[in-house]
Amino acid sequence: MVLLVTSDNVQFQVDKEVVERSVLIKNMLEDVGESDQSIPLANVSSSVLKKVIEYCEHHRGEPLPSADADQNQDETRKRTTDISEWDQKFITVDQEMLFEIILAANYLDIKSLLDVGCKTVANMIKGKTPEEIRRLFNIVNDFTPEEEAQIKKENEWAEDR
Amino acid sequence: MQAFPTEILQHIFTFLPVQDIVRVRKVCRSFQQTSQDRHVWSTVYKYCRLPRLPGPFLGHTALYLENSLMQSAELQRNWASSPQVIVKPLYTQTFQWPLSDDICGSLLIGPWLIVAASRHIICYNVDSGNGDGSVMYDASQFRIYAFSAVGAQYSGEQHSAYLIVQEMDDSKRVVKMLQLLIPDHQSTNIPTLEFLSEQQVNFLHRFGATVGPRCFAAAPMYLEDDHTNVYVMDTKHRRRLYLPARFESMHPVNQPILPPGSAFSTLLVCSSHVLVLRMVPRRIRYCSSFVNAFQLPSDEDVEHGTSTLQMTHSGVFPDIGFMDVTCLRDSVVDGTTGSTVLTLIGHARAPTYQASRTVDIVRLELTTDGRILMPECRTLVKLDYGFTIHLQCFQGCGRGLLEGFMSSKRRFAISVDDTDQDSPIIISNIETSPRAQILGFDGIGGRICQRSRESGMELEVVNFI
Repeated sequence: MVLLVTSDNVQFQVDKEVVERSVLIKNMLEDVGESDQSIPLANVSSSVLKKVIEYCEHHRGEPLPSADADQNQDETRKRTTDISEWDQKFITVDQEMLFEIILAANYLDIKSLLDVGCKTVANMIKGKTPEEIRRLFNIVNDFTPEEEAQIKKENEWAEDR
Repeated sequence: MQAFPTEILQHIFTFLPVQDIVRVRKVCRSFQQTSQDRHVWSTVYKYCRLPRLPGPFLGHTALYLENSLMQSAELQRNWASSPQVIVKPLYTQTFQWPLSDDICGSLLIGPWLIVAASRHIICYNVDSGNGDGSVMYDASQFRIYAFSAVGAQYSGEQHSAYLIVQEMDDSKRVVKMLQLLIPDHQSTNIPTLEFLSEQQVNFLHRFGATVGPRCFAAAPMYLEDDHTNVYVMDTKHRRRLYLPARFESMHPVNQPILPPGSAFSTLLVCSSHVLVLRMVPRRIRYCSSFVNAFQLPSDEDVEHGTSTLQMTHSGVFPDIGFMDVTCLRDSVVDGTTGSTVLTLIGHARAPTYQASRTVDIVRLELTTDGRILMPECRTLVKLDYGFTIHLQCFQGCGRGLLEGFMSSKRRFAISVDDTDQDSPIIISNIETSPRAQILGFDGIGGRICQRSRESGMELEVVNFI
């Protein structure tokens, strides 16, 4: 068992096999060797880590994309934005949590979870107008009117596609 | 979301369809930057499922990859009627090439593989399981210089293919037109070869030739002077037909005289007319096509000795340069006007070409009085460097294949089927040996003949159906 400590000081006891889906933690464990020391995760809150562990528990035992990373990536890419049923259900969370999971997956280096999160965001963006995207994600339009006109002009031909 | 590290935003973008990546750059600055990132485009290029040119290579900029993929997406949007499939060969047959001399052309028609080398034409039966070929033609004292197979004609019971063979020795250069009579599929007889005509020529050309329901026609692809030696052969009456004597005088009056060697000609034979399409590059970056239509004499007139075609149309299409054109569909008579609609698939040069060529689907309308109207022209695909194309169509069956290198592993093929109005195009990736040279394609039989560059003297017939 490995002891993880979140940013809000909550402790999680997790199976080594489960937690090693995170390349970051796996490397850490290899570095420190066998010890009972807890691992502090300063960038992950307990609510997010709970979700991440849930994901890792479910995918326990599945091969990690390491040695044959290229081939594996080929496989996931081929399916483009398809997400498996369980993952789909798992990732049906509010936007804030989704972003937190993506950031955590990126930080903890869990490639498959990062992919699930990013695909979900990509699916949300797909087919929407820039204005709809800004509203959906609360993004501030930081272009000057001149810049905006310029971009519009450059990309006119890509409209309506 | 704007607070995401760049690499996450990049990662998200790689899952977007190419049109969306371009569209979202209007959202905000960080989106704009990410949408122009080379890493994003090279990843998308590598993994997307669009037909595309080889790449990404180090020299390819983000903008190049973006433009290239936008073209691919356009192609997919306009023409892909079914999800892309990778067509894998079912089995491959290998034939030993018994001669030491080089192959100068081949034709795959039904079960027959016809291959010409410098002195012989050899025929194999692909279905027989027997790897030996029979020599059909022996040029003995001549050297076969070029061989073009112009495809098949199905008229009634008899299936024929037409071949153009150019031979030379020290003093004589001859163009021979041969007919290959193909036995039906049950028969074990090998096809027989018959002479139709023999013409002495001054120049050795690459010939362009097409076959229509009533005749076949051949002409040198590059013209050495104002005369176009167009050979039109009425296959039913086995008689050569001639274009009006002064073909060169038929340029529209205001056109400049063509400098020698400047025009690239292609022919098209349909049920009632022979079309001569000549592409002329003008003013360096601009090209146009002269189009002449010649009406075939009626069966009766040919029997009574008429051997001249009548010109019914002479005009210019100012913004398209026809190069290789084949007829996908012929004689679709418009009920109201009685005119004939031809659907062509053509390899054309864009009006302002910069190393790029396009393959277009063109619908020409032949009015009852023999004039040509061009009602529709849609670009099927834009080609870039490194593409070779292979067009082959079968009269009345409306199928064709374009072939090019898509990546080091795959060939990119578009099979065009105009017989089904709802889904005219199927885009597929054909898996054949990457370095093999494709010698022939049989759309009906689903076969490709290739010679692998490694093995040199072996022929392979790859079966897809």
